[in-house]
Amino acid sequence: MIDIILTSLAISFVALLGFSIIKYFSLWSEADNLSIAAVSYGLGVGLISMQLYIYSRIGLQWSRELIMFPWFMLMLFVFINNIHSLSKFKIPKFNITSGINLILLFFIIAAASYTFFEALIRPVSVWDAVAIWMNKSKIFYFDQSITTNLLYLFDFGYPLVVSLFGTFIYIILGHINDSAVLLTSFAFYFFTALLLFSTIKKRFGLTYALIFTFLFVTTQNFVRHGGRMEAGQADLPLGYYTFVCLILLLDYFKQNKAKLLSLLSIYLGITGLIKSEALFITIAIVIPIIYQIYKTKHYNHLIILFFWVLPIIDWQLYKNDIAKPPNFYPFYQNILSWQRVVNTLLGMVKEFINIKSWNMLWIVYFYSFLIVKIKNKKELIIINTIILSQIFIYFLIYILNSAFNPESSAERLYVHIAPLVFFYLAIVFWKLIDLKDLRKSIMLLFSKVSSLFN
Amino acid sequence: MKLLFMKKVFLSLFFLWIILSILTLPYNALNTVLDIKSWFFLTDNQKREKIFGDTYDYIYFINSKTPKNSNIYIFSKDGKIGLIARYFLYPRKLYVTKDDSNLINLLKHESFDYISLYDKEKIIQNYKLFAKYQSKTTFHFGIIYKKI
Repeated sequence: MIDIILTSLAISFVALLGFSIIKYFSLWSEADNLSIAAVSYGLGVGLISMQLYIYSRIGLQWSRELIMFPWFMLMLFVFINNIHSLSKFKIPKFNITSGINLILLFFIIAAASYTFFEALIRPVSVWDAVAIWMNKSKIFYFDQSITTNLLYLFDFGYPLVVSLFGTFIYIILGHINDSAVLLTSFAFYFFTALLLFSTIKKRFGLTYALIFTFLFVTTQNFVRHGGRMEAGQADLPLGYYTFVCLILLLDYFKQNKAKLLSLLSIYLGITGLIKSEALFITIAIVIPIIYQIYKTKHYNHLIILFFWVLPIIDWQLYKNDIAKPPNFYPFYQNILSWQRVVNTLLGMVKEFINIKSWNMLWIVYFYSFLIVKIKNKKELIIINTIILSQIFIYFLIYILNSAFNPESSAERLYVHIAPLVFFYLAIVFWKLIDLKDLRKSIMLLFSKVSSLFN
Repeated sequence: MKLLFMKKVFLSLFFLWIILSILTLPYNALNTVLDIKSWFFLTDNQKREKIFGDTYDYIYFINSKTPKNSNIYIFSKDGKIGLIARYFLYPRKLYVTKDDSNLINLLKHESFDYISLYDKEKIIQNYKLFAKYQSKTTFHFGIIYKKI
């Protein structure tokens, strides 16, 4: 129980750290507190992991005091400097008095509650987490540094943000607890839902935001990655970071502010260090930024954007310098055949229509192409480009390398882009459907559902 | 007209989505209650046994019989043992293999404190039988040999 409380406090501390930095440096000045809170966790996780990485490289000890001290000082500094403006701090208020909002909120809390409990009742159990992500957390904690000769032992030399954050939790606890550490996965589930809610609410209102948040939190694959069985892997974190980057990107298109681009650049750097596949996602996000810089002629922004690539280059150089990658590929035949293309396509489509995992998400998404004209709608074009380019990249990986196949991994890969699909559909529905009609229909639906329960 | 129909289909799909989501609530809640009932009161070891089966039980056996600084050769035809062993036996140095045909040659260059064979028995020069594991629920067994 103490471990659960300590882990929850560590997660809250990490989110507060991210919040303090974004607020103090006004990195996202146009955003409301709820959106900032939602992205804060990701910034905190990235900073703490980078801190452990740097400490290990320069030979500094991973003690609780040495890790926490600089952040406490920073937060104290921010607090003292902003003490006069604390009275202006607005806690988000919601009008949830209407019946439909109350029902939706109850449903969301119920779904989040069982995901939370599921995260706690089992130790880490999914193979990839045991073999890779949480294994490294455990080993680094034992060794009190990044054990360089183990970097290629379990995988293709995956980046370390997720594993190092697990190590941070163990350092805070003072021992290994591979049940409590799964709360970090739940936190990614929670903060993704919060970001989806805050972004949709700001644009389309409370009820609409609650509907899409409800659809997100009840999607079975997110329930699994957030707590049940699949927790402890890097796919949900990557989905979260991709979504954060997209929201910041869309805001950057509206504001063209250098500070916002700095924040986006930091997030892109962290995203690139979640999983190897993340590199393609960051490139898909960087291309529209370069286009925007070119269009608005803010060429000095290119220097800010350049910071994105530094941690990724550093990681590539470091891992190749300290341990030569073994060649895994001779084990697999890389023969491109029509049969492989067809099987890959079938496997990927099979996962798209897997209602058990995704509910109607992908079916509705692909159906929307039949009725939504995205021409001249820049926002929709950007979101779709990122989503579809990733699907295409995964397709290429599957057909070119027999080490991977959709049956075993598409379910996880789609998690990387699924939050974007929720956001895209929220925009599309809003454009297509009269909200009054929608509200009426949904109220009717909920009244029928509640009468069923009565 | 066609577009209107397609929009109606779109809306219907959306409603179907909401209905399915509502239905997952009691399903998941019930599953969580059942999960809590069947997992909550188990010890950590019992939980791991339930997740990984005999394999974990055997790894736990090795863990309890060998010191942390030991160097162990592990043979098992079950590839999962390697993954679980690396997770649970760290910081022991492990050599995990699915093929033990090169063991004799390997022993000419490498020195292992322990040799662990899963579902196999062997006479190995300079090693003595140290501990024997028998699964409680299946016919699987394992033997740990210690260097003399």
